[in-house]
Amino acid sequence: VLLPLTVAAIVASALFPAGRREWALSLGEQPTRYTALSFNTSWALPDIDAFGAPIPISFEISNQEGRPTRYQYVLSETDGIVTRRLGAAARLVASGGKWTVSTIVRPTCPGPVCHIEVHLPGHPETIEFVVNLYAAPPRS
Amino acid sequence: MITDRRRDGGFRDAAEPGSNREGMSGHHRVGAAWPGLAAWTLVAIANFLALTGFRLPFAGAAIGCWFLIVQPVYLLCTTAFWSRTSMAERIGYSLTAVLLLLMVGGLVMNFALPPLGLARPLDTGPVVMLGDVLTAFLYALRWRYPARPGWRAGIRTLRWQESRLLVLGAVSVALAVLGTNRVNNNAGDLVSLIALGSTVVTLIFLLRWHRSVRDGMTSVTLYLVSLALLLMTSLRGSDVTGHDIQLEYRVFQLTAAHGRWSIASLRDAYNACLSITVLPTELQRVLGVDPVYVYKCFFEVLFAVCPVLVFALSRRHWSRFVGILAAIYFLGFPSFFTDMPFINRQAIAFLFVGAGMLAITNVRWSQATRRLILMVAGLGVELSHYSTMYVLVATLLIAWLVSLGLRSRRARQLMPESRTPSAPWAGSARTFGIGSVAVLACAILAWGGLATHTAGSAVTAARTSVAGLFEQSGIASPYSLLSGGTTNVSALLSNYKQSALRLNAADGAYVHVTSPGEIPTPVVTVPPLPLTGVGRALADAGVPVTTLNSVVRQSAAKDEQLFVIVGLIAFLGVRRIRRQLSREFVALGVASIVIVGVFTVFPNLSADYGGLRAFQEALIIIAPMLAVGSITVFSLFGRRWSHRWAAALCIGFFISTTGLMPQILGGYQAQLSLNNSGQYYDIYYQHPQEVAAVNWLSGKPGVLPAGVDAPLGPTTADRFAFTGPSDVSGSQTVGDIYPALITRSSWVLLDYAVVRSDQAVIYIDGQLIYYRYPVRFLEDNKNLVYSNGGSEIFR
Repeated sequence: VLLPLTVAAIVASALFPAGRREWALSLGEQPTRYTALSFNTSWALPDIDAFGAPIPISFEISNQEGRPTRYQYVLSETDGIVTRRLGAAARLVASGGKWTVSTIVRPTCPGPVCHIEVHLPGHPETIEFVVNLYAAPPRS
Repeated sequence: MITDRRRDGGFRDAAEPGSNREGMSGHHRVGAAWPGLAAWTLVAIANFLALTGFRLPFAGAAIGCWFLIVQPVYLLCTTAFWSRTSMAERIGYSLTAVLLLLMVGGLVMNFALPPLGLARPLDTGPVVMLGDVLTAFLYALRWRYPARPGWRAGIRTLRWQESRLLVLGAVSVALAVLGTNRVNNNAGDLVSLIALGSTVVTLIFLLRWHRSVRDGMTSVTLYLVSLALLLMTSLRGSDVTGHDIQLEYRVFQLTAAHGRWSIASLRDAYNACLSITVLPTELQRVLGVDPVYVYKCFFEVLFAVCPVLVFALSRRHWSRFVGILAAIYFLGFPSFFTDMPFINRQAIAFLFVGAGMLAITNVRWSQATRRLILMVAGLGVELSHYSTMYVLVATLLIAWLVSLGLRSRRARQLMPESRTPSAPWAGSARTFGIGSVAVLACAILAWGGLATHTAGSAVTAARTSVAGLFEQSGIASPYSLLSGGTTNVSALLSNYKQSALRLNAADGAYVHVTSPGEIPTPVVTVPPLPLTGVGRALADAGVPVTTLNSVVRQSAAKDEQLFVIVGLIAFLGVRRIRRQLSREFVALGVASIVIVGVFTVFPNLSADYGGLRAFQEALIIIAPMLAVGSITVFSLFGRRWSHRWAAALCIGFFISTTGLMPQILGGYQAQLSLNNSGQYYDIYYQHPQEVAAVNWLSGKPGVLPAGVDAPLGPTTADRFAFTGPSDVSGSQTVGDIYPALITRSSWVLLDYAVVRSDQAVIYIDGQLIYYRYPVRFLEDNKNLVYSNGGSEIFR
């Protein structure tokens, strides 16, 4: 008696979306949703540079959210007191897709230690590197 | 078997009509042709699936498992070699024999095939060939020495109690799998709790109906309950989860990637364990599943037999009731389901230990047969797990000394049954002596010393343990089973910090720490689970729930120790009990207790091996002693009530130690099998974001050697994640992230626990210590180059 009842209950539960969702949670692995943000040449980021000198950087936004997502990045510099926006852009990234950004920044922080930061508004992910600035030699 | 309460003190029971303790008997040819035809067809399908790589979801793995494990075990089980043994015992011998044949067969192929031009002897083709040869050999053996399979008659005469228990056990396994998936998917613990409740109900009915349920069905029920408990832990996470298993999995991948096993690939004690290198490689070739699931599922399917062996061993001398109690104490011990699923090499080794103990105590076999099987089982232990072998040899050595004492003139005067050769007390004497111990020690020397050069760690551990005994550390061992010492973790961490700061100041390679205040690392206490509705209701009624949980756990530990001592006294002191036993069984029991005592006295041994694991190994022998002790303690209440009280206490402990009670009430440390929180979750659970971070890092230059710092857990264990199998050597290391020990040039990988809660864990002197991690120190000194919300990488 119990076996047919059990089978009937299982079949009946699979007929409803809520039941199917519960079975999916019980039988399979649900993907974890996240966004990854990283520098592409992270081992070659400069730690010292001249004030206002160009620094080429490249970073990547990887969409693992399980759906197309519109990302906006904001590139900024700060010495801990003053923050200045260096650039920003937005793009729709397909699910599982990546957006590689290559740009050049010219750090002009008032202080000697300058944090160059990339963050994604609406997402907690942030990456940054620190560059110690020295005054550029005067042009002859 | 007829009960004689005058002689056995009520610890043996009456055989019910129709019981078949022998399991099989006689030399009868197996009749019908169709099972053979079906079997050969399945062999052909298994060959086809493995050789073509054709994936048949679930069914393919089941056919592969049947081909490489189930059928060979069945064929060996149904030979006449194991005459006069129970079904559980036969399965134990047959399973371990097949595992040994697979390991040794793989090893022979590993060295024999390359000179013949086959560079990858553990690839699918040779492994399938080994399976075919094994099958043909065992068929021939069974044809030559057949035994009538008794299980068919057993199934035909299945009783209603038995069928209900089998259904309950199977439902427990199914619910355990579904519930664990739900916990993995953050869908709550309800189904897992029902699964645990189902195991409790199964065991209660097993005890209730112990007179009606035959040994074979009792064994199957215990197997299903064990499997449910093991899978609830092993299936956590989508990757391999746990402590030792991370490195175990890597050495398996090393063997699988090379298509051959070589200790030269990585001269490490783990790599010397064929149970986690050759055996899983063979399984993976034939099962056709993701290699992770070989580790997460199939090892548990094998290890779940161990409590059945404990039951069989207990049945050697005691009633079914005592046997069931012993098995419940074994599988209800916390290490069984929280640690053993993470130590696959030891899980396999325990099977061999169980088979060896069964052989030693089988008084129906000749001395030569017992010794032979003990030696073969010892070989299996050595090839499976080095530490278990050390403990086994030490146990046998001590047991031999105890046996000498029991054979002394004074002992013979005190124990007159020693003079009766037909009594079990004397019947099985001298299965092992100093010669047997020497042979097993030679096996350690030959394999761990000469063949793999990996036994040196044992000498080091022994030396540091003895030295540690005389050191004034002022720190109590956290592993003491017999003492209730507490560890001052703040002092441990403070000492560690001072040492780290001295290193930091002396070596310019580290990121300079200007003052201790720059890296505050206060100890963090892991909060217990919040009180549930039931827990709050109890608290409102004045019951201190947190204290209640602790008291029950503590009393479980202390009472089990008390019962073991009482059981031992009963064995030695009560004549009517003693004369049912073999002298060697008592000697082994005493030796096992001594070994546990040694782990208590030498804290460093506990740190290296784990005192709880030593107790789990000892339980293979002393579990019936524990069960008898519990009944003896309650003997004041009369025979019937002493059994009831003992059963109630055993089930009560099971409900507490498996986590059912703390989960229903709250107010206790979270258990990994039921929660997405707690110590093991923080340290060992591998999140997809962590895997993504490791994969991202693995492609970067300068990562290895010695270029990564990561928290204790999967990544530190996974020191080969950053290099290809062909480049693996012993030089790869992953440093700890303790702030004073971070080098300027290293990558620092922060895991889920640090990113989400700023908590890191460090392992000092065998103690896991949580501390608040000063992420600010990293931000000030390194670039944050990768972030995915669950993991961060600094450079």
